[in-house]
Amino acid sequence: MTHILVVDDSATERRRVGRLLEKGLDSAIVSYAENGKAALDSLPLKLPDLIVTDLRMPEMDGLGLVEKVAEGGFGIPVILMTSFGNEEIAVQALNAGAASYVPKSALGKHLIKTAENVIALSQGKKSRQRVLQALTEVHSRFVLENDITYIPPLVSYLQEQIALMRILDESQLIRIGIALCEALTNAIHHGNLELDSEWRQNDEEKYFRIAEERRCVKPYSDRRVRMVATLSDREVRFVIDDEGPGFALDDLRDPTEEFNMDRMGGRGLLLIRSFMDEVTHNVVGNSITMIKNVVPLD
Amino acid sequence: MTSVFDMDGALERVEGDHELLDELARIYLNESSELSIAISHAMEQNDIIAATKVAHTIKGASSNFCAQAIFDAAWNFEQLQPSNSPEEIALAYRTLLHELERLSHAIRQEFHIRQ
Repeated sequence: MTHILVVDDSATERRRVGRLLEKGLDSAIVSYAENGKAALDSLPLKLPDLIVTDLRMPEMDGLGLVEKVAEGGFGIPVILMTSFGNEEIAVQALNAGAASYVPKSALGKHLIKTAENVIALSQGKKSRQRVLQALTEVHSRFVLENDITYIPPLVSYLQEQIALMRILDESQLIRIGIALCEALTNAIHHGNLELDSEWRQNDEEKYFRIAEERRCVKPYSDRRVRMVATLSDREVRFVIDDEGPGFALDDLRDPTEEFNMDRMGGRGLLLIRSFMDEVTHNVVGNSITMIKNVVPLD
Repeated sequence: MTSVFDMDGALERVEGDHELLDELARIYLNESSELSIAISHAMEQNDIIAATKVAHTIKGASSNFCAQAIFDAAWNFEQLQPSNSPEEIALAYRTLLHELERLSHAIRQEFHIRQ
């Protein structure tokens, strides 16, 4: 059964569109709402597989509905029914997240095919999500140059993978992201480029200038950061190795001490230790293992 | 009556589904009555913006019957601004109500629907 919500302030239009969908699609169940607000109010009762909406309506128009559906994370595709003079608002709605549009004058010709395509794509996405929820373990290996601009997209990719596997909640995803950013930055700056955090404390501009210089100079430029990410339904584990000489853990300032709390050095490690369940280093001090245990989500 | 709306065009819009067109005719008569009240109310309140929104709905609902005269009347009314002269607004309003009544009457006749 495919549940479709038709939204239009004209009862005659609602019925025509509803009947077109009932006749054209296999086992379609159509429900109706007279404007965007009524449509939105009906969503908690029964989530449709597709919304087909008019644009100009009282209370809440089609653009408002598209925006609210996108904001609410309902994952319901929306098809717009456009009419002459509504082009501008239609483009805004497409930019805001509408899946497609069909001119009202051509509903008979194009609505069914468009609805079939959009539903197939949406169900494909949902099926993929179901498959990913059945995935129990993923190993990924990354080799990074000493360029910190790689870090945000890499972290974002890993957060996306974790989110798709639905093994950690949103707040944990953010904390994992911060821990990863700190660990990777440490590996590049303090590991491979051997930058002293004291330099940053005293003169941040100089710190980053030296970082840029060393990225192009041997032996620093030959060094790489290697990361193995293991995402499973038991734990999320990251092992990050750099090719620098390492450091003695005892030499690190304790950032929780009053004097050190406002210093940049050691802050990253404090965040990592706060956000991960287990953090260990190798003896040399150029490899960090960070583990977050997975508690099944409801 | 065929000059008020285009029966062939209306049938084409519903892919030749006579039963659906008959159902739409009955829904339209109820809706046009409600829309007539709504636009009259907006005009009494001197709320031109609200009235143009009702005209837009009239245009959409009436388009199912390929009725060119009411489509044009609703379109003209939709373009009105509060800055238009009272005479222009009154003329557009009278024309729209007249066409709304003409289409409703034609639909009642064609689909044998009693008032």
